Amino acid sequence: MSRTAQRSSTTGRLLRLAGAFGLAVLTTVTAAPQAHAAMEPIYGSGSTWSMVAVQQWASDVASRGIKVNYNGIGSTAGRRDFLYSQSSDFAVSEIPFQSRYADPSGQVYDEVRDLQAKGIGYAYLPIVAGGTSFMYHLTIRGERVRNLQLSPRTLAKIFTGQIKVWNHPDIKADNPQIPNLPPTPVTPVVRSDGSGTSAQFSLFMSKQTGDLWTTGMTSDFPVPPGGKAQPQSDGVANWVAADYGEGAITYVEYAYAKQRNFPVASVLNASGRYVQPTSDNVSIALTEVKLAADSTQDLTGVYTMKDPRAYPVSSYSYMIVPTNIPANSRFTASKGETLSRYIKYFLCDGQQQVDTLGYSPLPPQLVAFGYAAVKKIPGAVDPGALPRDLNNITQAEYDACPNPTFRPGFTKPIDNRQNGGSTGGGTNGGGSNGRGTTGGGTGGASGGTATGGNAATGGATGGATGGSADGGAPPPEAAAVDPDTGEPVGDGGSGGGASGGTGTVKSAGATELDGPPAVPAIWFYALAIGCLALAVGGGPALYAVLDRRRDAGTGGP
Amino acid sequence: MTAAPLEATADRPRKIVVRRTAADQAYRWTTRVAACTVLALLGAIGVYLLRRGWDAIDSAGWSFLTEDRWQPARGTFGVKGLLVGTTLVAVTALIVAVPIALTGALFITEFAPRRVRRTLTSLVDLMAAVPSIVYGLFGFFLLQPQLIPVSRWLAEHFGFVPVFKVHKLEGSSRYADGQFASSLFIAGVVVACMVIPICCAVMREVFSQAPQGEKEGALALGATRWGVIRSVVLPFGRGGIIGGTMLGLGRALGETIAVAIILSFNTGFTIRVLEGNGSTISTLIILKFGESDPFSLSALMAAGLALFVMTLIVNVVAGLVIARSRNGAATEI
Repeated sequence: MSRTAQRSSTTGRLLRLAGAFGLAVLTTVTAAPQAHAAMEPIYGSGSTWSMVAVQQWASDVASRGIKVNYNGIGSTAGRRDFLYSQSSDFAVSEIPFQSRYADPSGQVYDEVRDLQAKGIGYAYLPIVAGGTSFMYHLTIRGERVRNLQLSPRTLAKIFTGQIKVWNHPDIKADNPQIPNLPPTPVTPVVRSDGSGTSAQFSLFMSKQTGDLWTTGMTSDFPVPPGGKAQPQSDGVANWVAADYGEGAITYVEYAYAKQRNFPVASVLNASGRYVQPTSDNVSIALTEVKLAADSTQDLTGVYTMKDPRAYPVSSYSYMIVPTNIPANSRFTASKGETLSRYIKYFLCDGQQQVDTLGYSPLPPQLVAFGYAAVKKIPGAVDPGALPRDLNNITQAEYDACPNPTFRPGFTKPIDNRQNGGSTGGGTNGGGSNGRGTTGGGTGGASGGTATGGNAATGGATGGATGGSADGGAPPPEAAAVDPDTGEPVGDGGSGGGASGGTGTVKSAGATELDGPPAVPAIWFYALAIGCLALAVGGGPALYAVLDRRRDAGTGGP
Repeated sequence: MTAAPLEATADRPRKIVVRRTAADQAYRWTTRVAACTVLALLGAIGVYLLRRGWDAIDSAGWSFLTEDRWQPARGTFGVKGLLVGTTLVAVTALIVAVPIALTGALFITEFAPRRVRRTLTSLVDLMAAVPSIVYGLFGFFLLQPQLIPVSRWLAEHFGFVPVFKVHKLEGSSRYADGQFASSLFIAGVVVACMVIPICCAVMREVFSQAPQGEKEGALALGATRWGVIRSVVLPFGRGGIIGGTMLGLGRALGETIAVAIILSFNTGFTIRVLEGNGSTISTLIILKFGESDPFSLSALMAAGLALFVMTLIVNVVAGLVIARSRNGAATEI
């Protein structure tokens, strides 16, 4: 009797609690601003490479009521979350779902098959592009080399340990503008943790130099003989930038080299030019990306693109989104709405800031792939119409989707089939130079540094050599190529000539990379030691003072 | 009368019946459970690692101990290089740390003026509170450039010892700076910085308990300060020295993030501590954990088990050593 009474009172209390809670929820919901109707939050996980961008966008859209939680746990782990535990609404990965990777215990993991078995529909969606750059540390007579050029074959030989010194004939052949390459040993620095950058670079080598690189695509880069392995992009970049990193070279995102005011190598593309991995050059190369049958990226066209400005080691990372609501999944149509709004934001507005974050904006072709994928998400909001002609986007279409590559003046890929193309070429040159910081950076950089290299031999030849080094054109064809490259070449040549004449070699080289000047190391160390001393010594000192005071207090009377 | 019953005269210990109060009982059981929890946790970790790592151990078999490559995706993986690397880092750390910790502890307890003593003690304790990533960055940016000349000197003068050997690069007679960077030796020195406070704290505690009477007796017999230390403090504190060293060894074996920052990770088998390559088990786990499929994860668990067993053996041996030293001399720690 008394027990039932007690139970009923407990139930009553629970009911009252639930009621109060419900009321509270109701008030919160009704109190939410009408304009930003609270959308269901979404959760995603995956690539660390794209994490900076994904989280930046997430904080941008938070004010619009779109809640996105992202956890950078690595591409593979992200795909697993999406597939096996189904604990995430989307995944971000450098590489697509893998089919049938054999396992030594005889068990075969087949992500693609498991997806089918579980009935999970999915689509790949490009989210952010980037070039893998090659940061190096090489000094000739106290002067840091800033105009190194490397071909894909030389790169593959360096990262397989076949080239051991910097004055190897292959490197000399790539760099006629650096006459006195030193016999410094080459130290290739690779990532020791599993990384998307390793995957992208090894994929490039396996496609372009398959005879030298036999490992295939791997996110776990094998350490070449004489090489070093370091964790994270920060780790490899710090190693190369250190004093003992003389002769070191690593593959890393461009932003990390930029931060440390270190140069990155120009890589030979299919048109015979050596180009820097600027944001624009990557975007241009990626206009050649194709979708394979399973909507994964096919980068063969990117690696062999004929545009003289295309940076060959370019790729993009995927977002994997659901296209159906499988059984016992937590995905809902309202989550789909949140997801689609978020995607619409980052495919358009969000791409404006990726340059400063160290990535490249997605070119129109990739945005089109993204639009097509968004429409498949259950509950998605229609992202709007795409520009009618991707190669000729109007101002109104740009306003609807302000992706920087949609800007009407944005550099168009040069169509090499129509040899000549003088009018198109004119706008090209203007566009690329008008881009300002990064776009112009390429020309200025190689012009200036070529002078640096020549300063040793004589300033008089600075102009001519600087000019040819800028475009990176093969000398015999330089005159014959077409008028459109004439403009940049002349530009760089005059710059090189001027600096060669006045002999301001150092400043010409130093202005290459924008960004704040590096803090002198001595100040950094002094500050660090000061802080450490304060942190370590402050407590005990205070302690001692208090102690003495107490002693004096007790000892007084 | 003649046959007195023998049983009656035989001494029998009185049966002692202890009546414990409820509070006593509760206290006993609480402590008992707490003690068992520690054991249970240790056992649970071991069982968990074994269960998760069993797939990998099963498929690798004995080659798990003799293989030095780590490519679980292709079925070749083993902890040979990793175990050796872990040991080398720990041994380097101890060789650097123990003399410093020992002399530091002696200075604090025996030589330092009373006023400075407390400050020094809290300084050393604070050293233990610095997070290991800070030590890692400190080692990478500050210590590493300073240690490269030391490595070079060792390689040039003691290169005939296999441990200090460094191969010369093709076509150059001189070692390059970069060759010495990111080596097991440098990682070991950085770990030593972390081991010092632990060792020092234990040793100082033991030395400070050296019997005052014996010390004064030694002084009265005409011993110098050093004589007192040698004949009283050190023998008395032997257990503490060994205990502190072993505690430090435990930390050195398991140190992860600082080593990961310094070391150029390569699982290949090597005993050359100066040549800038190497690996330890804990760095393997932290570096490969993020991008591993289920089988690779199992292999990492197996590596974790190897480290677990290794640490356990070290600690058991240390316990035996301490126990033995306790029986012998008049050490009462």
